[in-house]
Formats: sequence, structure tokens, C-alpha cells
Amino acid sequence: MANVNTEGRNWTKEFGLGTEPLNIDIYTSEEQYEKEIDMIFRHCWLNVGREDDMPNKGDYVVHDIPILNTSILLTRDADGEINAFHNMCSHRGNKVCQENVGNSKFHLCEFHGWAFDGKGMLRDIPDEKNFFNLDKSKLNLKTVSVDLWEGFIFINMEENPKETLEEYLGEVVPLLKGYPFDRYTPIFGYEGEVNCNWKISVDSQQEAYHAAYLHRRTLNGALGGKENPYIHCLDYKNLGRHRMLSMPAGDEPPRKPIDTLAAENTVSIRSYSEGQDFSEWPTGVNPSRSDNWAADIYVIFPNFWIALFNGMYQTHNFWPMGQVDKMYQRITMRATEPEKPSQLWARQYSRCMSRDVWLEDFSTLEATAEVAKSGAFTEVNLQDQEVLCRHFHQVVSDYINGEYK
Amino acid sequence: MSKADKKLPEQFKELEVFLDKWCFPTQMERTNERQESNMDEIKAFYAAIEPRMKEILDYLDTFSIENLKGNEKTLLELAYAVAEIAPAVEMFGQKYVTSTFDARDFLPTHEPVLKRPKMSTAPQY
Repeated sequence: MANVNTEGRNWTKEFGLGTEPLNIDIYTSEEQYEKEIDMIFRHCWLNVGREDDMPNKGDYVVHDIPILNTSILLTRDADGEINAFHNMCSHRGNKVCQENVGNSKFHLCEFHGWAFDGKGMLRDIPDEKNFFNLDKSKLNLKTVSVDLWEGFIFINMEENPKETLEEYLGEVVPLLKGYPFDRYTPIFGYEGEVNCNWKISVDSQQEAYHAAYLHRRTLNGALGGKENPYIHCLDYKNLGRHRMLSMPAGDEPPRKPIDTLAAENTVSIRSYSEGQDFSEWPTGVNPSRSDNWAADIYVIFPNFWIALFNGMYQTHNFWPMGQVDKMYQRITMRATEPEKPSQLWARQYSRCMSRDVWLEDFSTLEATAEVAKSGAFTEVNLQDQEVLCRHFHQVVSDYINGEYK
Repeated sequence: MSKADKKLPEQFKELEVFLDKWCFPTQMERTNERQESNMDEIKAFYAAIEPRMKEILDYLDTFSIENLKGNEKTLLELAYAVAEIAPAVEMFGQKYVTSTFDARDFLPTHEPVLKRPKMSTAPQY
């Protein structure tokens, strides 16, 4: 590993965590699951996409969130501001917006045509004179707490959140200040429902240990490489309830013809450029300033994940879906738009190749959930390079026991 | 335009025999085709088109993205099928990545898909 020698570090100890195995009921307990919804998801700031999901005035996006028993309507109003509402009509409770995305100056409830504007104000009631003593001032769409960080939209189900979003994100804010999030636009993404506990999937994305074996056919030495075959990370940071790791690049992976052609025409999750000048980068991106850096992963509690690369970044949203072993995951990749047909083709290759890498990750999810309750093993063993998993479960445990400070 | 009417630019005529099986406008259709084909079919397509891919991209680059229409658009869609099947040939040696999660349940959000998960925020159509 060039530049940074992390051998001899004991990250688990530095994080202030124990070394004993975890009980597998972190993935299977219905009692814990219910507490996670009540004590975490109903109180924490939760990511619901990004400003560029709705770039124009009148744009809206609907996030149905079954665990919160609601649907959230995000709008960009006539002044260009982002708003969040319960997507529920004040007449008889129908969902006002039923398309996932769209653009409209007014939102007309499909049921009887009650009309609301982008600021949630009730603007029209058909046949209004036949109602009885309506107090229209109480019939605007019900707002949900919303705030932005670096263009990412977060909601909070508390009417008056105890912390602002910035306070909630804490050290993450200064670490990533200056990363060019706005320069990149969504170039592809995937989504799926998975029959597993949401934390099984979060854990699969917060350690690099698995990449050496699970991704041997795809990443193939691109992380870690011969000098660092188990992909020991360049850095780990305990960021309170959040956490990060910094992944080492490896060798140029062996490339066959089509893969070579694509690598010549676009950035991808298995191409890391050398000789970058990091001096102007945010302190939280490649924090150890290694010449051998691939990407950083920030895991924002409870269910949002960002991977920062040179020239692109990737987000994951992990959502429990109302049962202990059912979840929904959304992945979005952002980079620069292709400028010519060869780049357009290379982007399509990147879409397919990245999907296949993520399918490798997904291959472990339902497979783990299917046997987690077998009783054959009741503990999960974590090594030092899986410190972020251990940290995550400690924070979850503190939250659901009312001990998080 | 029906599939039978699709043509490739003159210099790529001999690849037209693959249009019926491999030329689709959407990624989801290409994904389905990869999963529903056998490895011999995938390898045959790869063997015929891989040596021409550099030439195909150079040819397409004589157009701007906005001007890819007709035969050129057909050629791009066929090249997209190469992007779909290349990992099967070059990385996996099999058409599927895993037997424990179906690629067809992993839905692209960058193109319209008719039936989406409940929590999706992507366009349906």
C-alpha cells in the first residue's frame, strides 16, 4: 500500500467498541425491528433524494414510505423552494399525487378535484358552497419538516426536530464541504425489493473485506491489489452516529476487449486514475491523501449511503418495508453526461457492469435472511476491517435503548 | 418501425442477422434476452461483433448524439446489447450473475418500467 501504512492499527479499539460476536437477532428480531421504526425512523433526518430530482419549478416527486404510514410529496414551488407535505387530501384523505414524478403548477386530488399549489395551499374546492362551515385555513396540505445539505433533501417526521439537519450530520458537513456534488447528474440507477432485513444490506455496503472474494470476477484486484489482497482500508472514521471508510485502489484489473473499450471512454466503478492532485479536495475525501485511493464511503445514519469517487458519486437508500425481513433499496449513480456516441455506449456498458457488481452484493442478502433464523449459528463474527458494521449496530442499539447521546 | 424493417449502415450489413434477436430499444428488454438465451447464443453474438466494436464506435462518433437516427440508432441499440452481454462472456462465463437474486427484479430507474416497487420514485412510463 503506497503512502499509508495502517498495519498495526486497531480500528475497533479506536472506535471504542468491543470485540465480541454480535447476536444474529440484530437481523431477525421483530421486537427490535418495531423499535427501530419507532425510535429511529420516526425521529432521525431521512434522505429523500436530491434537488436535481426536481430541477424545475412545478416539479414534484412522491416518496411512499409505508413504515411511516404515509406518502411524502416533495414539490419545487413557484419560488423555486423545496417543500415536503403529507401526500393526503384534506377532504377525504385520498393520496393527492398518484404519479411518482411530474410537473404541475397545481396538484388536483384525483377523487373530487380539490386543488393545492406547490406551497401546499388549498386553492380550489369544486362546489364549495355546498360544504358546511369549512375552515379553509386548516385544510392546506400538512407540511413535513424538510431541510437540505449539499443539495440532498432530508425529511424529519418530528414537527419540531430536536436538531437541525446540520447539527444532525455533525462532522460530515465540514469533511465534505466543497465536493462538487452539483457538477454531476444522475446517469443511471437501479431499485429492487429484497426479502431481507434492511441492516443486512447496509452491512454489505460498509466493509471492503467482501470485495476480495465476492467481487473477484468483477472488481478483480481493482481494489487493494496484490500488495493489499484483503483490501485493508486507508482510513476509518467514527462520526458519531455516522461513519466512513476510505478504500484503497489496487492494480489495473485484467481487461478483456469490450471492457477495455468501455474503460477508454468513461469512468467506472473499476477504473481509478493515478496521479490525482488532492491538495484542493475536501479534507474528508481521500482523508489520508493516499496516492492509492479509490473511493470513500460515508454511511449517514440510519439508511443513507454515499460513495465518492473521482469524477462520480453513488448513493444508496435502504428502507425497511414494514416487515423485519423485507426491504427496498434504491441506487443512483451521478457523473457527467456523455458528449459523444462512444461515451454514450460506454455509459451503457457501465450501467450493465455496475448492475452485475451490485447483483453480486444482492446475491448474499436473501441468502443470508433465508437461514438467519435456522438456529445453526446464533452469532455474527466481525473482524477489525468490519468495524463500521459493529459501529452501526452499536448506534442502533443505543437508539432503541434510549441511550444514544 | 417493426424489427423486420430495421437496417444497419452499409459497412455493417453482415451484422443484420443479429438484429432480430439482439436489437431492442430498452435495457430491460436486453436484460430479459440475456437471461432467456443460452450461453452458445450469447457467445456467437459476442464472437461476431466484438472484433467490429471499435469500428462501430468510431463510425457512430462521426454523428452527434442528437443526430443518431434510423440505421445509426439501430447500430447503437445493437452495440448496447454487446454492453449487456459482455460481462456474461468476459467476467462470469455464464449468463446470470447469481442464482439467489434475479436480474429482472433489479429494475433500472434510468428508463421507464411499467411495474415498479411500491417505494419507487422513478417514472412508470
